[in-house]
Amino acid sequence: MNELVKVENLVKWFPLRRGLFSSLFRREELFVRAVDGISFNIKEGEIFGLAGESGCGKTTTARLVLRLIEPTSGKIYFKDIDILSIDKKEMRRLRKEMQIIFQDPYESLNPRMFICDIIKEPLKLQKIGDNEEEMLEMVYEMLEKVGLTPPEEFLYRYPHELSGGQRQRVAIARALILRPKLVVADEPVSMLDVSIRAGILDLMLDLKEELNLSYLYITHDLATAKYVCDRLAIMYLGKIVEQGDTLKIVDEPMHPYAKALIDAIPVPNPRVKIRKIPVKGEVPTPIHIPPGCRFHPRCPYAKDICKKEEPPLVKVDKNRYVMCHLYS
Amino acid sequence: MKKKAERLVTFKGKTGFAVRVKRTWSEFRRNKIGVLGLFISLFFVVIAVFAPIIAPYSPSDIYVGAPLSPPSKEFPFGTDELGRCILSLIIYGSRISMSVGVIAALINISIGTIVGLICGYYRNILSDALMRVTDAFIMMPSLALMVVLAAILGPNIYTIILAIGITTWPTTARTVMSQVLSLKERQYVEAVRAAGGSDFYIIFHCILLNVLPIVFTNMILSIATAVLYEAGLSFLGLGDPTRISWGIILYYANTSGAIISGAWWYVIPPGICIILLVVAFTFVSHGLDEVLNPRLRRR
Amino acid sequence: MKWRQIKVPLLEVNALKMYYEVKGKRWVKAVDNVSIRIDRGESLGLAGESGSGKTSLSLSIMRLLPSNGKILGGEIKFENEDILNMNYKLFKKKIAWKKISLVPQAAMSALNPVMKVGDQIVEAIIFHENVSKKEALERVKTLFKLVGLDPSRINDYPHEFSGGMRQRVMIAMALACNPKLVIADEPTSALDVIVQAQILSLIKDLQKNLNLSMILVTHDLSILSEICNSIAVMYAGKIVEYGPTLEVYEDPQHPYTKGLLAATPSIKGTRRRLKSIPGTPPDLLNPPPGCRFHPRCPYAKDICKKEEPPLVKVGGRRVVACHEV
Repeated sequence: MNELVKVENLVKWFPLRRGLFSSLFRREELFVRAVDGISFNIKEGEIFGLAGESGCGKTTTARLVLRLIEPTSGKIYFKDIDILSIDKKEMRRLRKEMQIIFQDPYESLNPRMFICDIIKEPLKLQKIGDNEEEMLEMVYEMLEKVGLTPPEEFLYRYPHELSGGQRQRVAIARALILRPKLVVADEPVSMLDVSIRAGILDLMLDLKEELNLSYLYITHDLATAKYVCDRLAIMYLGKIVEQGDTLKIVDEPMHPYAKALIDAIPVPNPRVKIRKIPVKGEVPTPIHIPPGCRFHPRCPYAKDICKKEEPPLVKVDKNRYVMCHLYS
Repeated sequence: MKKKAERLVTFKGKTGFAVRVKRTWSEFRRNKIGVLGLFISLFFVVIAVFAPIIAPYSPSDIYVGAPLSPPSKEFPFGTDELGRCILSLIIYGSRISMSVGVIAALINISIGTIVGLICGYYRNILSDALMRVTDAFIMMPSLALMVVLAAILGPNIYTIILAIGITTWPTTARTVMSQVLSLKERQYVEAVRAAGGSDFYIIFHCILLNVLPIVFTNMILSIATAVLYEAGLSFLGLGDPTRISWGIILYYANTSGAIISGAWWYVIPPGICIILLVVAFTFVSHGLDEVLNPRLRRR
Repeated sequence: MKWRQIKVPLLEVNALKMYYEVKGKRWVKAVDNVSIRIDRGESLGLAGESGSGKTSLSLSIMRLLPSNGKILGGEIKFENEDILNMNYKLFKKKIAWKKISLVPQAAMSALNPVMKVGDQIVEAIIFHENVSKKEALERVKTLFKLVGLDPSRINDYPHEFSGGMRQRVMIAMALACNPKLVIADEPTSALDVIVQAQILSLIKDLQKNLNLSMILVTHDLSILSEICNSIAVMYAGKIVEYGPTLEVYEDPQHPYTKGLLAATPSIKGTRRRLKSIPGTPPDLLNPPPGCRFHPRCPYAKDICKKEEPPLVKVGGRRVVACHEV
């Protein structure tokens, strides 16, 4: 089992809530097509990045992989187990192998619980540890691992007494105390100050080595993704448009959207300015998805076929896939 | 390993609930209004608890003074139509007034919180039905409902408590439910779900913990309103005539014609006590609200 | 780049002290003895993280402080005119929006949701200038074209625009009265990457075509390097480094600037190890004595703990506040 996670044709459509009148008058139901058929896998010990702008479906995908929401269709395999076919109880037991770190360090910790209780909670939920002392020791150890030392200083504090970076370390401690195999990190540093980010990312990388973890790293910041991810998938309107080794994609993106995305990122070097991006407009809503290739209305290379047919996923290299008519 | 565990166990000495209470108190202390309210409430509580010791006479001591005599050195609040010392009546009356208040508030909060938690968390037919029942209760005028209930069930201290409790829980349920609705979408709840938490755990640990501050402040406030309702019901004659409460004192003041004959000492002292107690509890709940529900607790 | 000749600077802030008052007569020293100057045509970047005082500084210039923000010293001069002590009504009529305007943080939520966007800008124009509503509307249409919006949309409501478009509306509003200086506070922080590039390109074009002077407040050093020709780095309410962008980026002098640059990832170039700055920004109620950065500084010496370093010239137009220099 080299593939820790395998996702096949995952789809998640959210029904739009309709009031009384619109359900009487309008025929077809509208859906927000958040995730519209994606496939990828995460190998053991790798950091797989899922990148894209807002509305592309990456956050929804993260929750689907952990089965925090139910998919509309598709398959999700974790350690070769089809997690969609197991019952609630078994899923709860499986959860100790897959954990999540959220984006907002101010929202992801229960404001009325002490730090030690927050970190201890997963142990109690999964019934690990025989008594209070043992659990407290594990919490202690975890606090040291994430760099919150001396641990006594933090055990009986409330989240609002800590800084953003410290809170995120607590979130990491909570996620890792169960020793999961997969950690889903949903934009873990985007709400932190720049000078703190590197510390948190380094911590995540060090812990990955130490505890033999795999990460699903969700982000909109490709510069950080380049620093952290081994492989990368770029999403647009619910589909993966390009997938492959991070450095290869970032240095030579092939899909027009990926190209525009990477060209649009400013660089901290005054000698290098952003080139004019040939992409017009903004991301359309996932309710009304353009026919054919969903990027065609904004694509500078759009041809006739792009307006009619959805492009196939083409393998352009070992490990490299692009969804574009230019390459098929 | 052992040493670390030992270190932590001794640390436990000042942990958990105790720390929370200590911290809440030190912040509460700074709120002058809350502290004032607390003093007044405690004053009444002490009076209620030590009534037999403090009061110069007992309610059964009739004709110890001339009936309906104005305040004097012997009887600071004068006497009633049965020659009883009104000061003693008020002291003894605090017991019923407060206990009815507290117990009715407890019923209110327990039912209201549980209904609110369930209706807020689950969105299915059962919870919707429960919500409609709650709404129905809210729509009914509570005082009228209480009067009807008390009239049907008979003038008894337990019916008063029941009547107040039953008519006030829907408001609490509503408040709790709206809190729960927003709380269940919070990320830390999602984190618990991701760690394998069951619905039961989420409702009764995570969400309840965050709802408790509001529930607690509500409870203090509902003690105040329950005391007020009890006084109202008793004044209307629905109270338990075999006991003494401030409302009952007012009832007798009314029926014995004391008001018409100008015996202000019969009416004003119990009235002031009711007002003071209600205001005191309101102040405490305000002070607690500021401490437990801070508005801007970010960054 | 021609630096100061014997010209009157457009905006001059001298030794400004702005503190927030909190319960118990305590002061949060948000802006502590800050001096900057902007010349005509210059775009200054105010860089710093949360708590550095950059937003507070821009609010002070625009005199939009909350009720507990008090100016305790210093002066602000625009074209040599004291605008800090100017009568507030006069300031609002003559300076705010007419000479200096602001694109506030989270500008996209700054629009009134129940008014048409055109009307909101017209309101601003009419308050400051003596023009008829018709003329104002015409100007709004021109402004829309200038910022890349369809002029026929002046009758739409804010919720009908996307985030990027609302930001353009805010920029149009800031330019409504032809100001000489525009302060933009995190103009792209809530926007997606591609839209961000579009807005940055718009800002660059506007700057060039209208000869605008600008103060760009942001924590993102990459954005600053795109647009600004000089940069002031702020930390804990003070300016720690100041100079032409190119020089500061290629040869940072202050340890904080060095740390910030080392912590900023770049999409281009080789994958290098990012370095973070240990510790956290100081509590501005009780900032550390001496140099405010010393608890986190890898080069801290004894003197750094006792004496605050003065801003020292290090050649050309560069100033640094550090004992190492």
